[in-house]
Amino acid sequence: MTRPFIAMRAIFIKDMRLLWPLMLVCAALFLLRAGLPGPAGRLVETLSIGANIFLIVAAIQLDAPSGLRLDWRTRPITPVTLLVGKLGFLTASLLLPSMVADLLHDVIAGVGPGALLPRLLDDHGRAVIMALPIIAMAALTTRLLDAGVLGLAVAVLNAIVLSVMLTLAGQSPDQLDEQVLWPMVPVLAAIVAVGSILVLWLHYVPRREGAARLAFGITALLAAATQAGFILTL
Amino acid sequence: MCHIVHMTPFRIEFQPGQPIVDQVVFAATRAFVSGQMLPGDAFPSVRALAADLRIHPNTAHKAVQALIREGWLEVHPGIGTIVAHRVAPAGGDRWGLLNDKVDALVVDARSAGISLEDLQRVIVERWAALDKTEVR
Amino acid sequence: MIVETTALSHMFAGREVVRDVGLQVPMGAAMVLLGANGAGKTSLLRLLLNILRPSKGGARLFGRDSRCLGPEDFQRIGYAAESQILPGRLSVSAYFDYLRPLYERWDGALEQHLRRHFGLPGGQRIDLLSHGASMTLRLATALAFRPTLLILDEPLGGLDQDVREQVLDILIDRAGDTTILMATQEITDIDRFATHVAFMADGRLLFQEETGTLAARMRDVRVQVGEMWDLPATLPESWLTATRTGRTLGFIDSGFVSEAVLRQQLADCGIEIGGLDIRPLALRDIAVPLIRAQRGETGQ
Repeated sequence: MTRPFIAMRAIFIKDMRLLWPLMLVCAALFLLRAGLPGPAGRLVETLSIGANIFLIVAAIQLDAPSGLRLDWRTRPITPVTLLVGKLGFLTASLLLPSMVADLLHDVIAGVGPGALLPRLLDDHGRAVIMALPIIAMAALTTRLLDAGVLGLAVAVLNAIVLSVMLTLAGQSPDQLDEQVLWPMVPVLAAIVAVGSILVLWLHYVPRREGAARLAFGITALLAAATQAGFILTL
Repeated sequence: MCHIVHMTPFRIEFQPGQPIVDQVVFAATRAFVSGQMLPGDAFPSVRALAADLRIHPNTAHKAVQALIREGWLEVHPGIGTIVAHRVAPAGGDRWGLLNDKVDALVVDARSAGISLEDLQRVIVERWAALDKTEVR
Repeated sequence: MIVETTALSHMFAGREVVRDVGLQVPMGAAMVLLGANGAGKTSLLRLLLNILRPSKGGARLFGRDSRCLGPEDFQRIGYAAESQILPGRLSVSAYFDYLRPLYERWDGALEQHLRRHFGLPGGQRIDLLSHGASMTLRLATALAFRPTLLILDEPLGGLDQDVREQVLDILIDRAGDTTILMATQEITDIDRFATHVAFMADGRLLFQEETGTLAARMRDVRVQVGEMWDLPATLPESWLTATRTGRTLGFIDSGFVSEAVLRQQLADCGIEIGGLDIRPLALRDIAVPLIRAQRGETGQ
């Protein structure tokens, strides 16, 4: 085994020893979510998303890339090893269990073998893209609370931009048919994914925290501008 | 918790203002001339000396090297460092630096207003005191 | 030189917290980096370790630019600081389990020796350890892979006497293999152990030298003055913290050569000597007046 791989494994095992209760909760919620229909299902879905976000932020911030006082900075670990180790941990603790849970549910529900893989890739591809900005936000902060505040700030600002634009476009936000907004989703997803990956790269590889923050801000602005621009064309 | 107590067979009260090496060398030399340590006795290893006196191993090493250079210690591979059967340097060497030290002593004594008789008496006392510590 | 910096500087919040530092730590040394709180010691160590980046100048460790320090370098650099954040919810044993595979030269026997020596309870959660035990854990994990360079930030701060002695015993034991650079405000127990002393104030490195030469040039001087006079406007720069109380002039001579030279200097200042008392200073007594002198408290 090569050194970086040994280091990744050590980080993985350490994180498991610290986070296994949360991992179990997330896995249980995946199983429940896949099986429960109706309002109960939606509640479990919300809980599951909350637990997943919590696990993502906790795993990243256990060895935050920024901050002057963290142990890993003076250990034989490169930031890239750390990032890959963390992404591996999140894949094993969130992505794989949720895929297994959904696959189980689909098989039990009698989905045909041909349709299984496309369904799986479609759903979880979306989940991965949603997770990327959360990972980026966790990496930019060193405390859970800060990450929460940052996420909330982005969401609130986005909502304000959106409702102002809708008002300008003469649409009432309450009566808006969500279907109208669908065409912009791929563009938005691409912006968020590319922006988040850029943030993570800047933060972990050349270790440029300022540039990473800037990239995050620009991504958020671009995302809002895309939505605004789309609404104006309605 | 085990704590190994190393017994360095001479006493040092470290004084400020003087290099540690010199103080260790002086204390060891004092133990040799007083007969507190005899030829053939084992001298502590550098590690033991450092641990016991709470000094840096490099400092302990320098002190041991100085004592070897002066002929007080001998290294026997496999056995360790032991006190040597030392032959005092002959002739002019015998006085060497000592002349300067006596000069300094005389100047200091006179500037402090100490009489020659008092100085002689103190020297005789100290000389005898070293012999008394010979009893082990 | 195992550590060498040139004109090393670091800006933080518009202020230069490390200024033009040229530090040189020879191989095998045990250097004590002294200075008051906020003198820039911690920032200097962080610059060396590539935790902070220099705004000007640079540092070399093992001849390598600190900005390029990578995992291979951290295989041989041990770092323990009071301020370091450890994975608090891990047990002591689990933390060692995590670190062990990271190091090529991890010495299991030495690990066991260190854990026994410090009495570290394997099952205890790290965040429930006492302050002293937590510091000794940091030290043990910085030593068990036999580093060639050990960098310590306030390793003795707030420790009980018996723990301080345990730490010192281990440092003496390891010093043969390891060059040590230790930032500290407390030098009571280590003044005999330190081979070199460096002194920082206000981000600058005021001096670095062997402990022996420092001890030789520092003297506490008290002069009984013959008659009433005012302190001359300019005293030699090497006289620190000169104060006059009644008929006694007291100062630290940081450039002492001999009594004769000192008498000549006093005469040159027009000071009539009634009585002269010159005493050597212990390392711990040197730090305080230096810090005070740097703050500009001359007592006049």
